[in-house]
Amino acid sequence: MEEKIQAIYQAVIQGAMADTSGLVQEAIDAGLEADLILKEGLIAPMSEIGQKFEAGEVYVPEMLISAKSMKFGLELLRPHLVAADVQPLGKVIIGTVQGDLHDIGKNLVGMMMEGAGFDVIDMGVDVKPEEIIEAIKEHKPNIVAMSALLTTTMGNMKTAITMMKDAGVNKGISVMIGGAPVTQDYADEIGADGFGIDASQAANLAKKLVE
Amino acid sequence: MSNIWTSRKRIEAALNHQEADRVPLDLSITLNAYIRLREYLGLPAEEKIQADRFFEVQPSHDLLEVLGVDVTYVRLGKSRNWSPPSPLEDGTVLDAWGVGRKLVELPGGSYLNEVSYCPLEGLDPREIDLDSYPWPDPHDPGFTDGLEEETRMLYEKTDLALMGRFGGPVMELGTYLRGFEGWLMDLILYPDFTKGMLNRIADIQIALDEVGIRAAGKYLSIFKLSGEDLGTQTNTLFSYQVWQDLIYPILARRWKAARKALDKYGGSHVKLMLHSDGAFRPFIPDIIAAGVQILDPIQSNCPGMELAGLKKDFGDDLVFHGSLDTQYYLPRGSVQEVIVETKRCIDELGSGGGLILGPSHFIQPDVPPENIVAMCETVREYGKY
Repeated sequence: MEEKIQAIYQAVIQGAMADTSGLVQEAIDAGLEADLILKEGLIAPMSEIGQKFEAGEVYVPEMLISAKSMKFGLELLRPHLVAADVQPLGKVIIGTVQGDLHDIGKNLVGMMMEGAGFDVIDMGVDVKPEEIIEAIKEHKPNIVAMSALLTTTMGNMKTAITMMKDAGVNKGISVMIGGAPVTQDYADEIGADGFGIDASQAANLAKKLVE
Repeated sequence: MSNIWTSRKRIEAALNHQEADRVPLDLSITLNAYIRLREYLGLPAEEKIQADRFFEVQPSHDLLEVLGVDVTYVRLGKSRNWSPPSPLEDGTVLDAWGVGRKLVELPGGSYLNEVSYCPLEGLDPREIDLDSYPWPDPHDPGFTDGLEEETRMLYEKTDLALMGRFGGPVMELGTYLRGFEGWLMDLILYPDFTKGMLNRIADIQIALDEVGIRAAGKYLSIFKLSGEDLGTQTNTLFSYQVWQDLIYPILARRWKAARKALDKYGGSHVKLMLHSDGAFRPFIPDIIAAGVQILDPIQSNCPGMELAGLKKDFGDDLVFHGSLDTQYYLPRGSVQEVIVETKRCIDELGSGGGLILGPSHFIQPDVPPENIVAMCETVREYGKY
């Protein structure tokens, strides 16, 4: 692998935070293609971190730091990706459902999806179904991802799915759900297209859903 | 031992790993679920119900008696020298630590008080001066106003076992001060800062534990070391190395201080209970080594927290408190499913004592009263030794 790309890769793995953007700048200055920097320098290490997380070799803090480091690099790279017309893997709208302010899991999933090459629109917490529908109309995503920590709020995932259907905006969109009390059975019960038990598996599932 | 099993004797037998007449029962519940449960049981509506900031209520003794619940709680009073400042624009109210919470409406018209302002969030730890932070005063006389007398009354006038909880959490307060993400990243990026902050918090929680124990410790059966959530749904929240280098020494200091205070103030019989959600089995041997005797609430659907395995490996050293799932069975399971699951908890954890059965999280407003009653009835009937 090109040395400058290798340096970015290592910076993301080690969680070098803001240093990552300097290394991405060096790679751009050296004339490396934005697409290559993205795939080999930013996406590849996040995939490795995801695998290590699933295997229990790294934990939430390390994953967060790697994801933030990736984001530092990605922000710097973004205008170059636009200029080179590099298309994202797909577009995801993500949020924690109405009545629920818990966002650590949702944030991790969002970052892992970004780290897998998706364009992620984060709607934050306490997101009403109406707001999801508006966002679908505006952004035309491939995936809507919803999170809930509380058993009392997870029913709002079902409400949102029903309202999406009623509003006729569900065509061609996959719905993913997650959060501590959420299971595959629950996803099946409410008609969601997928469930990820953790952030890494959610990102892998998102990739499958847009294949 | 006497043939008449009072709640307190039943709990103390379980705590000493002995079988009583039946498995003892505990119940923690939030406001709307409590109101609905009283209604369902045909108990009179109560005019004024005190709820804490998690909307957890202390059930009245008539309800405890009807259901066969064996435990009641003792807490510190309200501070006298500190009162909350005016709410922020979005309704956020700051507590004595400077942490803000606001009411969030849940489906069905109930509420939760959720953290909405973290005073040290987003700041560079290298620029945070922990010395000048306005820490709360653990020696506020309001905390122990009437505590000794109230606890003694409960001890003398009821047969219930008393569980005290005085100081609050250490780690969780760190997350409130720094924000959850910030705090998690600090563990790796700024371990010395994190140690400094957590030690400050621990000093205050230790002092709160001590003032409460001095006043009321001798009347208790269980002392709850607040809550330190060490696990996620799938794994420990952080690596064993972070636990060993950073977190464990601070928490162990706090737990040992509680033990020392109990021994000093007539509570050497009192057992120490730690609350942690999630999957944290790799930390359990260290937790036992630091003097914890009861583990709460046991989320058996998390990897490594399977009931039979915990009983087999740690059942000689630990009493289990909780264990009935609140993520599926209590809120969404049928009465029949709740009965079967409650029996499973009893079968897998109950032999030889060592189990106080209850919900694995305080009961939220989405739990039907039928399911709560089914849990309690199953413990009273099937839980007979």
